[in-house]
Amino acid sequence: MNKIKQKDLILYSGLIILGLAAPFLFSAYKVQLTYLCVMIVLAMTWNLQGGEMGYNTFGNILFYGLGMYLCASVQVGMFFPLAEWTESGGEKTFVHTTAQYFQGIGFGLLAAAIIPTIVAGAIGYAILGLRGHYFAICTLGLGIAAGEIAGGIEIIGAGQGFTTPPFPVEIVDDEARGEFFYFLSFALLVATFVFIKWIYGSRFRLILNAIRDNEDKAEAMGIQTMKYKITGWMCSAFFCGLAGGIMGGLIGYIDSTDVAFDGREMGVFMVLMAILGGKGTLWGPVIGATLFHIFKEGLWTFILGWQYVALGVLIVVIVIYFPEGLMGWLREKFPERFGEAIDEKDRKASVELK
Amino acid sequence: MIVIIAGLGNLPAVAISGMGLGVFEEFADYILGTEFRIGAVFMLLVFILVYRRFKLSKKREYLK
Repeated sequence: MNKIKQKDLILYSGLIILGLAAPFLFSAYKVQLTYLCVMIVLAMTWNLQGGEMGYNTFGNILFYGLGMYLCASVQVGMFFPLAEWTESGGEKTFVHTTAQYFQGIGFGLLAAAIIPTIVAGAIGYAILGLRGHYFAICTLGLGIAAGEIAGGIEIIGAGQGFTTPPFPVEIVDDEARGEFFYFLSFALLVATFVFIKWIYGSRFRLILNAIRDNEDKAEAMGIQTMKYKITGWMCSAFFCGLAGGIMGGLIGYIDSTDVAFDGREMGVFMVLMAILGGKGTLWGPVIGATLFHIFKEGLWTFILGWQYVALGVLIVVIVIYFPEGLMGWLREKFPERFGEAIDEKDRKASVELK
Repeated sequence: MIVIIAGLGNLPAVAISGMGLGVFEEFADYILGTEFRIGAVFMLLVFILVYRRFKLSKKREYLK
């Protein structure tokens, strides 16, 4: 019953070995690889929300930023007065010892995982009652408002920004910092993938798809749609918060609107990546995020100044040529590989109809 | 945003909400402080949408 196919086993073990070896093979690109892992996580959680549930949210950045601020605040606040830390800005009047740093980041990530989930559950009932464009606009407003409000709160640095604790000075190895954050984000990526793969095989996904396809009918069939919608959002928020926490530590500096509640970049990228790869598929966001990240870094490096123009062209190309995403395109090209039997007569008939 | 607050396709309300939003922004500036000015406007958007959602849900309808 629970037989894992040999092909899958080879694929997954190969990917995990590649992931574990990556920072040693491409040691100059550790930060980029960490970014890649976090972006894949964001794309996958957005896919759970927008692709499976059909609720196109622009507000997942809220949980990402919340996680980032919480992780850093807990890490500092556990040992030093938070207000003095942020007031001194980059002056670093306090220094974390090695044990304090790792303890802090552990508890910080715990807070970054739990509190955004609770927030998602608390606002879920009010926000998820909206549908279609109104939901998208409302979450967009929520994301922007969160950034602006965070920019006004003194204790977390306000507009000046928040410097996250520097990596402990006792560890003199230059490579350690990059490796630590890479493996943290890789672990998060694996956990997210396993969780979402588990969801894909469960009844929960079918319920989410039913909500996407026709919510009224799903409700009429006796599914408590609101309960499942909130649960889906909470799952997204959990992983978004963790991703934010890791990202805060990696970047080292948190600005309210440009790093944490970065709806203009991360908030849009996570939607783009999921759509590029194909929404509503397991591998779509992973492939989409990888390609997107490579593209983005290439554009940022080689045609700096025109990067947003090139990105816009990329978006137009995606929308025109791959409306179903790369996975959708592949599925249309090679349906047999996806385990679909195509009736040739039926296919010809539909082509003639067009 | 002004249109969303007024409701899509409701022309007189758009004029009123445009004016009201300007006034609200100034009040938020005065009461909450300048740093929360933009945040307050976006929170107003969220609150109005949520308010309308709860009002409609009594009739078992929804905003879409």
